[in-house]
Amino acid sequence: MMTTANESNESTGQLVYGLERPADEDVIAYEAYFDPATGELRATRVDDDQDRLPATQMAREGFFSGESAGERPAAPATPPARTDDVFSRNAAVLETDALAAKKVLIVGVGSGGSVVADSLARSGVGGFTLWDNDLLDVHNVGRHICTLKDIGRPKVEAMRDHILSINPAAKIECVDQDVTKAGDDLDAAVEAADCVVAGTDNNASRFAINEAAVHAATPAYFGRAQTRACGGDVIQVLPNRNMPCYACHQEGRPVDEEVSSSRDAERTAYADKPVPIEPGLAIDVWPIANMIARLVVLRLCAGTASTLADTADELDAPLYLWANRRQGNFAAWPADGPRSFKRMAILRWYAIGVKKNRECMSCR
Amino acid sequence: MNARSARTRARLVKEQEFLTHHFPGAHIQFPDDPDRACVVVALSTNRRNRYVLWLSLGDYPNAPPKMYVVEPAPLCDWKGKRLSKRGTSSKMHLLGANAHGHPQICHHSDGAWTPNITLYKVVMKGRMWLEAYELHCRKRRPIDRYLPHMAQVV
Repeated sequence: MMTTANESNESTGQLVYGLERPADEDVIAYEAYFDPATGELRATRVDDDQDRLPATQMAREGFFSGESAGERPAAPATPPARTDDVFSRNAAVLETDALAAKKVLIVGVGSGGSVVADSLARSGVGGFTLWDNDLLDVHNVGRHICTLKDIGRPKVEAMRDHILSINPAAKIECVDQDVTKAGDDLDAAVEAADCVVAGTDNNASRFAINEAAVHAATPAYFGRAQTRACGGDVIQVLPNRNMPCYACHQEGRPVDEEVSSSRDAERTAYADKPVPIEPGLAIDVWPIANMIARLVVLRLCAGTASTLADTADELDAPLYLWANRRQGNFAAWPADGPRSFKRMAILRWYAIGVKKNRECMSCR
Repeated sequence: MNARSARTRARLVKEQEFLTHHFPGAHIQFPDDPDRACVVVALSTNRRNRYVLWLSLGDYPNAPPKMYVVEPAPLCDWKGKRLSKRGTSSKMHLLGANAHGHPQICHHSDGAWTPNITLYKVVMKGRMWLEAYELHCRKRRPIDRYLPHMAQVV
């Protein structure tokens, strides 16, 4: 056996090892790549993607000339785009090929939206439009997917890089614009998406997203955390004549708006009275985001062979309610709730029916 | 690209028709520009006093417009003190005044707002506030004695 080529393709960041054999034998080429999940160098036969050997074994067999056996080459600067490996553990549960072709618009990539984006990327969703006009600040990091190294960057750019670090083949568009003044741009983005996630923190943006989603018949998901994230809810708006839209949910049900600045406080309520302050912990916000991601994946997999399809009947409600603590709206819930299946309890999802408002100007 | 969606632009045309029908002379100016869009409405109370309301539309209908009393100016309380000096006041149903010192009427809280609320309804809430204001001037009681607050979330 003779190896004649060993080169590094710097343009793509992939390590490529060509392997030639004598003319009387079949020529078999191998492509080696660094697997960031395991830290190992692995190799794939170019003519058969299913046949893989650990790189260390190949090295022992002398496949890599010019290197000592078992020595790991330096990792490429950019991981190669081998999504079949990244999502190999998802394939038995999800139709990963179907998800790769889907596109999700996420408006607001803060504490909730960033977690949704992360979960969808790890599930294999291949297309994203990330929409946010804010920069990542130090106080965001405590409950955001991005970290201190991204401080000062636009949130959409930081999240784009994060998603690419999971799935380099993902197609990501970033929009750094105020969604409440986006008009036609928002309509175009919603129409181009398979699902819309509203991760914003105010009703003006949610109403704008709702109206565009209803008009385009695009499924939309709204996540809200209540004061200090003592609980929250997820609103699911599907293109269905009997399904209430986000504006229907709001009719006659005032909500406590999250307040993150003195300007918000002035806009939201009388500044001479106490106003809700910005909610807190990642462990309280992330369950809401994970529920949204679950609903989105279920919707994107509709019509495909998916183990998740079994949950479709449980997850078709317009509203899901979650309580983290017996505070605020949940203060009257019994303390022994978690020990009983018959009582309201924290840390459980509740599906709630909501009637459509037949007079709603957004969806009638 | 337009800052307002085609549906919002069509709605504002309808709102204009409805407002003009009930408040002759009311007119939506710069409807396509959220930063400049506004409505000026002249109206009279039951005691025949004339006022002018100015509504800055902003992100309407997705957010409540800001409603100011621009005439008479300055608008004063029963003691003769400018209402704009009170700033934000739950007792007087006021939010912060604008740069010109016009007091801002609190008509709907953000949490209670929905896009189903028409400009006509907003102006009618302004009219109710003006009636309560005149009672305040006569009876020397805060306005929230005559106007209940909207339901608030605990």
